[in-house]
Amino acid sequence: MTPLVNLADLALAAPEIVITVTGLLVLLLDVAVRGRNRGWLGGVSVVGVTVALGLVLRQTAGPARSLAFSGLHVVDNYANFFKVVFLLSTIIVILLSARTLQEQGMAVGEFNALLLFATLGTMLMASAVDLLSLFVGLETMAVSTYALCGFLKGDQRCNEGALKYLLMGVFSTGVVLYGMVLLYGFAGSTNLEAIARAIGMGTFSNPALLMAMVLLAAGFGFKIAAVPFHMYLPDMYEGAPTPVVAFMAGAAELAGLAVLVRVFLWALPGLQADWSLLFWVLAVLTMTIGNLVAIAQANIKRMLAYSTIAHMGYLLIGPVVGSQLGVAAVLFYSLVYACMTIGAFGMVILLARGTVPGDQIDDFTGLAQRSPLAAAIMLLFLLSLTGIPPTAGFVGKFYLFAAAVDAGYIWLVLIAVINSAISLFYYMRVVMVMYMRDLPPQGIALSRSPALYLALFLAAAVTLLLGIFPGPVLEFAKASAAGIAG
Amino acid sequence: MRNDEPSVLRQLARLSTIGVSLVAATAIGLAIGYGLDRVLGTRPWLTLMFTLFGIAAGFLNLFRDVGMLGRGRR
Repeated sequence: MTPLVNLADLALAAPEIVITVTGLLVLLLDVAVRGRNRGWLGGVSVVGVTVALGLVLRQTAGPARSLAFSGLHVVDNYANFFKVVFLLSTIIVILLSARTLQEQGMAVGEFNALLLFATLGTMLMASAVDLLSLFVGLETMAVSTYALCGFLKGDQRCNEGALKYLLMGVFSTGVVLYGMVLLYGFAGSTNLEAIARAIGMGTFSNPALLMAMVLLAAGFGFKIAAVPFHMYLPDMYEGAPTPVVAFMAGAAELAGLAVLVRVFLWALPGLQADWSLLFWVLAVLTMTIGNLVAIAQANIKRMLAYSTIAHMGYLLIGPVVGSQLGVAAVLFYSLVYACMTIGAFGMVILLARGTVPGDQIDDFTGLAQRSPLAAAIMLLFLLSLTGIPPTAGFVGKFYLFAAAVDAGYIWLVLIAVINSAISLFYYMRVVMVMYMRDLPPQGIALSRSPALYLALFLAAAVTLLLGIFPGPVLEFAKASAAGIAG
Repeated sequence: MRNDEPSVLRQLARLSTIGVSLVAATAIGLAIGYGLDRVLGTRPWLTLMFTLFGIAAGFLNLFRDVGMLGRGRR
């Protein structure tokens, strides 16, 4: 009889174990150590996440694909690439949150522990090759983020956003589960590759299978906030603490995308013609509605919420294409997108003072006169979000669109390019406000937090470096995608 | 109790319809898509699309119900 858990399995799951232990340690230290200043708990979390990041980077040099825990958990470079994105996002978010937690009197230990458990969930999702482990990861992430979104208990907007997210999340989980049940009923297995074998070729007309596919697309569509499942996102973004929002955009939603790509490419390759069309429609709806509605927003967090929706639309081009090039472009753009969007939210945190959120676009008025460096960094993030060279956003979009052209999706690319032009309008409005308007008489107070500066510097450095010198990371993304799509 | 604050029973009754409306909207979407597919011979495209829209409509109902709950609390 083989033992239930052996050491080789544990070694493969080492990054996840480090994150779990760090999360528990933070909770314990929070209770055990006395004193008012709890900022150092963030430091403990950053050290833990950095160790996990190091372990993941070491695994990238290992065998192409190793299975652990009786085939429930896979370590391949597709999972590793996404884990690097999630862990990098988490490090930046912890650094960003230090000041906010202090100013708003939030519980530092609980916040960091929940953030670490949410990160654990995203990592489990990236490594899931079985519907069961996928569901466990999904829920670990979701339950932690429900709590994080409602972290400001006394704030009405925060409570409302969190409640909407919770209810929609629970129902969407139900939808995903129903899809999984149908798949299991059809294939007799929860393993993704066993499902693919059971489906085989030429069973297009099985209505239960098609229904399962639609339910999974809808459920994951909710997780990545694809239109028409995006309704909760702007309210949640507006109400939730800004660091939490940065995490949602830079890790939690990308985790949804990671499982979407793996489940559809691995478990349902026989139905590619069907789901490719489904995602084509979702991608076009998502990017167009996201960009159009973003124009009308005065609150920058709401604007960035719609910008997130639009970017998820661009990212959905990857699963539409479904080729190795498409998946590689999704991986690269995920990394780029995480850094630039977290950076933009970091700028919102920089402008927040005390209990004033600083989340209106007008709060950026005259920032260039107050601090040219801060304005330049925001400009970098906005240019990257629009997709203008020499930023990473341009390279990412270029490869995403190139993959679609390569596969013959000319119309999709045309719509995406028009959408990029539309997005220029609302991103550049912030630039206009920063550079072309005079500083208001009361001035702008900027947060003074070394951790926040470090986080912004990290995000800006990745956004600029990947724009100028994307080669090695692109090559790694291509190699990582090889195991997913042939 | 203030007049504009619905009673707990009324709120519960309203919330208990959320589950039904989600499933009903999905079923209606599926039925429309299936029917149109049979008439137009486009199987399975319209079934897929309308089921998706049905689920989305169900979520929209849910979202509206929750929005109402929020206003009741304020």
